[in-house]
Amino acid sequence: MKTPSRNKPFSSDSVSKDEDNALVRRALKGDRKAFEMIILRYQQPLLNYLGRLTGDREQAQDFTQEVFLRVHSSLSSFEPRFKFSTWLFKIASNFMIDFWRKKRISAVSLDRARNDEETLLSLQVPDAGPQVGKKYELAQIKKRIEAALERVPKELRELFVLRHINEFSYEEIAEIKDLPVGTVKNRVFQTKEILRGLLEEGT
Amino acid sequence: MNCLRPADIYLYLENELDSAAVREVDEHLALCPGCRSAFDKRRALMDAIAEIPDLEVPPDLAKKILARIPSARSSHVHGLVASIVGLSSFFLGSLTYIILTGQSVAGFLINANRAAWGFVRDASMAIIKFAKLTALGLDLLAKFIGEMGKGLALFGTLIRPEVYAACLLFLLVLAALLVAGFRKIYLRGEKP
Repeated sequence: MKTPSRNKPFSSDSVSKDEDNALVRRALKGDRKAFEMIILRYQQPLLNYLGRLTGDREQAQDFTQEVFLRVHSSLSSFEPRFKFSTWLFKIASNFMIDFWRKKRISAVSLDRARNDEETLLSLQVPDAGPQVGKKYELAQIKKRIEAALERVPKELRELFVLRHINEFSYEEIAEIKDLPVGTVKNRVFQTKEILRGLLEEGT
Repeated sequence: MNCLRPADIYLYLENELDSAAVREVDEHLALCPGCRSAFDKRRALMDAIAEIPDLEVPPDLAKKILARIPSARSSHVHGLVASIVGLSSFFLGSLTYIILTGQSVAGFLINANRAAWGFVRDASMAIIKFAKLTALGLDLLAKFIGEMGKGLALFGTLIRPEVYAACLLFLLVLAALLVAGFRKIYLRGEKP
């Protein structure tokens, strides 16, 4: 995750990586305090991620517990050469994939998204329009953007949340989701264009 | 430079462009009112995104998670306690038996040893017999089902399809009636 971040309690990536690895080593030896430190570091970003994907705060809290339990039982498989944060969010992402599969939520067609990527990149910006940005009122913006985000297809929303709520770099998201960096970027840009459309619809 | 694409604007706003590209975008924005307007819209969006609030973490979340993780120490302690309780119960039971029957300790140990081996032998024999019987039963059932399938197929070639379907339906109804009848007799407590 990039610095500075609202979710990020670290001073720098290398320091946090060393600290994370030290905490994992201690936790593997049965040090519960070390695992508690890991929870305290990541509970906020993880809850934000799960909350924005489920749209249900209580369910997100339950899922946060479940993901940390999965993390704890898989700690021995963590390889220190990777970043702990991306490894943890990979587990969280797989958890959500399992959840959606169980719920039989029909996956939003990514074929369409892929086809749209080219369209988006070649899309020319329209000429002068109303300065919608100036119309936003701060208090309303929070509600409207949250509501708009819930209307974005889940697969796109996940990438957006990882980028703009959890503040991972595009490269880190590509690692978490096993996707090419370019695809991640295009899908995040596409999500933002969808959000912009939804916000303008409401003005 | 050509007019800006949304992707260029987002990359610019997220500091993902190198300095040369940033300079080009700046120069273009100064000259093109359309792109300036598009840029302002995306910047407003990015400002709105920055306003998405964090969700509130319950103060006891970490404690709840830790409570669901069994500690290595506590599981060792549980295992030790269970072993001690088991061994103590065994010795106490043996002592009570020796006192009540008046047997010597050596005699008790010999008898216990014989009983244990006898149990192991009998249990093994029973398991082997049960496995053989189950295998035989499954084999018979498989053959029965296979032969029945062949018979039905042969029957199907001899008569017209509608008669065949009617026969199958009749047999199904007959089977259902038989099951229902036996169930009723069984519930009344009578022998068929």
